[in-house]
Amino acid sequence: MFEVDHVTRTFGRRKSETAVQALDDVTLDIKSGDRLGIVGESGSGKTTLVRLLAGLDSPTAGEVRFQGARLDRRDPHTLARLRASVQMVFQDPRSSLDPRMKVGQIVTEPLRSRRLRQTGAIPTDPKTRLAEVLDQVGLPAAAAALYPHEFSGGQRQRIAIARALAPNPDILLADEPVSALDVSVRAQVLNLITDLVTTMHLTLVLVSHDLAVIRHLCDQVVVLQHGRIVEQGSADAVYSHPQAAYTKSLLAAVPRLPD
Amino acid sequence: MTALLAVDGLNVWFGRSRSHVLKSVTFAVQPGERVGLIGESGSGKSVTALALLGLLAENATTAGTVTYGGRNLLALPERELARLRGQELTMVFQEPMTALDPTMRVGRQVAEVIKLHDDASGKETRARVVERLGQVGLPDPAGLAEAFPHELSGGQRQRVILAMALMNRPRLVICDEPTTALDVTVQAQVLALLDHELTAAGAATLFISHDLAVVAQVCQRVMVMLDGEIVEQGPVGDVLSHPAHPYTQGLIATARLDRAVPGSHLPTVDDFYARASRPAAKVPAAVEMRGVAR
Repeated sequence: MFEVDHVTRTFGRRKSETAVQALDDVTLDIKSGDRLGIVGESGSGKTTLVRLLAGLDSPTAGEVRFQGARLDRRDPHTLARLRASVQMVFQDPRSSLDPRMKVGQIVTEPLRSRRLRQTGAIPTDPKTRLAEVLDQVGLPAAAAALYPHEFSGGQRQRIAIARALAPNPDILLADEPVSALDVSVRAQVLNLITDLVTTMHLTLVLVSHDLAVIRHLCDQVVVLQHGRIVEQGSADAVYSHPQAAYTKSLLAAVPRLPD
Repeated sequence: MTALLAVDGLNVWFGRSRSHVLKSVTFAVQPGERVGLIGESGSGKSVTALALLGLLAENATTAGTVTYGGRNLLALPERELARLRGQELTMVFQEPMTALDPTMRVGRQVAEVIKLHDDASGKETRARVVERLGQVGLPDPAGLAEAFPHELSGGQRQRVILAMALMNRPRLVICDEPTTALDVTVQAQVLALLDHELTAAGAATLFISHDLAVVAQVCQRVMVMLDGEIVEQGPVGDVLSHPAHPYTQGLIATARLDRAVPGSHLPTVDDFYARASRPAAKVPAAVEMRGVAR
């Protein structure tokens, strides 16, 4: 699906003192059906990596290939193909959903894109699709006529997931999908993502600073620190037997209930 | 032992429709005690905090008493209340970016807290600001005092807030989700700093969070809030091992993500406690306003 090949992303003027290397020589393969977790703290480069996968940004050096084709932000056809099959869920549904649009418009917006429709890969009947995805994420059909502010945080994240599902994607990129939610709501959204990934055979790329969340949803994990991969392996192994000191410190920082 | 703060039958209504957001909330905080207040968004945790400090929006109606130092805070004139705030009763908000003034250098904001209650000279104040920023573990405190809030990381901003909140040796610090906007690693550091600072000042805290694991780490006692009512309270260990209310049982079950089998269906609060009819997600305006510096 994705090949990330020696990718470096530098922000700021190159070679200047203020330049920040968000990603430093990262190489990674994502295969169909993978459930990959990317973990690291703020500034480790995890969001930059996901933005590159989503075609929202271009690498400074190296390249990202999607189904064998090099991602180039100037090539609208590859991008359209990418957007028809790769969808994203962001951290905070309060800022990722347009407050002036009704839920129905928000969810079907990707289906109205001319470029996406030209790919022939997306559902053509927005009305039917809207009803389907709202049902899949557990929202009533009446939700379509309401505005995002009329919903709770967990429900808003369901709306964001419904929108991502609308074009019938193969890959779901989720950037901290539960970290803006209450712990009590977190379980519901995690259950929803688990169910959707299983029933729709989605490839999942999940970014989180919480290894417990990653272990629950993913089978593979990549640990990023200062833009470099410091550890990777099966989610369970990294969670149970972390090798890198950084991974250990991440795990130790997660607050846990005493027994 | 007399309680530091005694809240008795605190009720809050909002607006003309008088929606009832706090229902006969009663609890006490002993001197130096760390009390957690847990509940989900919209349960009334932040309204409780704002009500104690007289910071509720003007469309709020309150009833009941909040006794501190022999006086009822709810009946206190704003001028006297203002004197207590920032001195004996302080608050740490969730979002440090909104709690700090974005147009003012960090050092000046800390200096304001000193000058509010102390007639120190400019030079003296500056030295104390730099010393204080160093105490809360900020690197290069002299340089940082000259920086604007947006130049700091989230964790650094929250350190500045803690520096200000615990500067004047308060008796009670109300922390409203102080680490929710932070990463786990930074959260761990800020919680350690909070623990250190509270101990150093001998201050009590009312610690508000939706995360039971964080509350268990910080507090001795915990209160569970549901739809504006405290449905359970007790020592943290007791509540965790023998939760009486089904809602509390649900909260504890959802917080045990580390014990779940990966990919399995996680327990949710609804499995334990089904609400008859959840009020539509209408959150009163005062809750949405939390974090706004006033």
